[in-house]
Amino acid sequence: MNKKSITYKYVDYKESDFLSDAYFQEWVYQPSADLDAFWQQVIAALPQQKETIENARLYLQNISFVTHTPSDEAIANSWEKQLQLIQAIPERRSGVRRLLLRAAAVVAGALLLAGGWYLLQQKGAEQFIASTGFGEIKQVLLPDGSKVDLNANSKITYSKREVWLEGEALFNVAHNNKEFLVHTKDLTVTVLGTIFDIRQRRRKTEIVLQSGKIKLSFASGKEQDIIMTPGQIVSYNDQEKRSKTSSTSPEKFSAWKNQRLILQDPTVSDILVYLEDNFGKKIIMEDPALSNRTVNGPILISSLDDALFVLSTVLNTEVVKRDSTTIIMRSRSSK
Amino acid sequence: MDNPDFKQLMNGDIDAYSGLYKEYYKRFYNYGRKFTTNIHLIEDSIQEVFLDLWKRRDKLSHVDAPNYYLYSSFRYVLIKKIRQHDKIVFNQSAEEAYEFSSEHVIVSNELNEELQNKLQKAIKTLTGRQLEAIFLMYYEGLSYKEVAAILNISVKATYKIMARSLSALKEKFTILLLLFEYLLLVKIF
Repeated sequence: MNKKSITYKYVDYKESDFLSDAYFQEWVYQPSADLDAFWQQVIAALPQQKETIENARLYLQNISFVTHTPSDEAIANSWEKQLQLIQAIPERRSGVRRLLLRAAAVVAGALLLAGGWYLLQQKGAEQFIASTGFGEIKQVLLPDGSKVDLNANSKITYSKREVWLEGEALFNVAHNNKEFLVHTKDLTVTVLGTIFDIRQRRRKTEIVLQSGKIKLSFASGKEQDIIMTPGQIVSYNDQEKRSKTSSTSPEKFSAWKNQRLILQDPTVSDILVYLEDNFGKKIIMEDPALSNRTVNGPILISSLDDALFVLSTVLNTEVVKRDSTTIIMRSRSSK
Repeated sequence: MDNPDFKQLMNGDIDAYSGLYKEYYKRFYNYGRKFTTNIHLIEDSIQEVFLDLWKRRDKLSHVDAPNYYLYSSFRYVLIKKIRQHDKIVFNQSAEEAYEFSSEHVIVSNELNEELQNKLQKAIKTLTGRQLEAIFLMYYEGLSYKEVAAILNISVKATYKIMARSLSALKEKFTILLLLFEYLLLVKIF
């Protein structure tokens, strides 16, 4: 090999040239016998460059970079934001895959047990928050694999297997030998793997069980615990401080998950109250006689406009937007 | 880099993901600050890079150098965001170069004053890319090839030539060493 051609390159090198030479940098930062041999060779061949090389080496050893460190709080906040972002990713499911997924569910159940155990081993119960705005529905994946569909204008604060709810959410709890707790301001639901819906709005909390088994405990301490069976609805009113148990269709109760509102023999005012809670607007029905009418059948609630359109067609009213927060429903016939 | 968190992430392990996120958050915050003081742009870039990583987690088995993958994605996204931002806010042209500035370089005060001054001068002659290369290779642990790919510089032919001549040198040394050992043996016996 031509030794001259290698060393020739360095004849006119200044200190800064050596500083920016990748091969030279490697010698300084990650020295090896090979690199040492090579650079000793260069020095031997170019004795006039000895001082320059030594200086360049000294320079590289004496520079470093300013370190910018984020605060722990900034890191934690950023992570929480990231977690919310990844939970907001819609699940990709094609029709064909859905069947496969159903078959995989059995396996997943077993994996979740293992996964849940693994997660329990991890230290510290971090708390997370997920919330929805008016007219927004979101699915949240909890760390234990449980799924929560959050209805509009709702918020959950959660750690591993404990959730605090304001608003409405449908829970699909992963089986796990540890209990799963959901708290609202008035009561606590204890779960062992099941699907149920809690609707806590204004003064009322309603729980509908789709499958599995849950236990309700009341914050007031006056009511006895209730063990619910599928198809039951328990509603609790914080004014009367009493619960009422009856039967219902869980699928209908939770139809909001598919952008539908199906209430049991609802009056127009029941529907308007629901819409107010979920879309954050005040809705006034001018004709009180219409408020008491019963409207059966599903109402599309993909947006407030959609819902009001359906209602006003049925009731023969028109929708007047008085200002940004108030909507008036005015009877067409009275005009 | 064999980061166990990366393998766990492919299985959708949220705790592994959390660990990975927090580790790289510190690194990218530090790296990003060399380009901009706008921490919102840095934050948004980190969010974007990781969100994309999470979405593609089941396709990550093709990525054989995760560290490199993350650094190059982050740099690309951040520079893009700085460009967009500057264009809107300062009406700056897209051609503006975004580079490491020598103000981030610290000169050790163990050197005497004369050498410190000379070193300061020498640093000023280095380009931002040259400084960034030093930073990535020796502080962030990327390889020369990876750095060349990130900074979009070709792996210089001279570097290859040097590597080759080096192995030639090494051979010569080995022969010399063998000869030396042989002579020693002769002397002993």
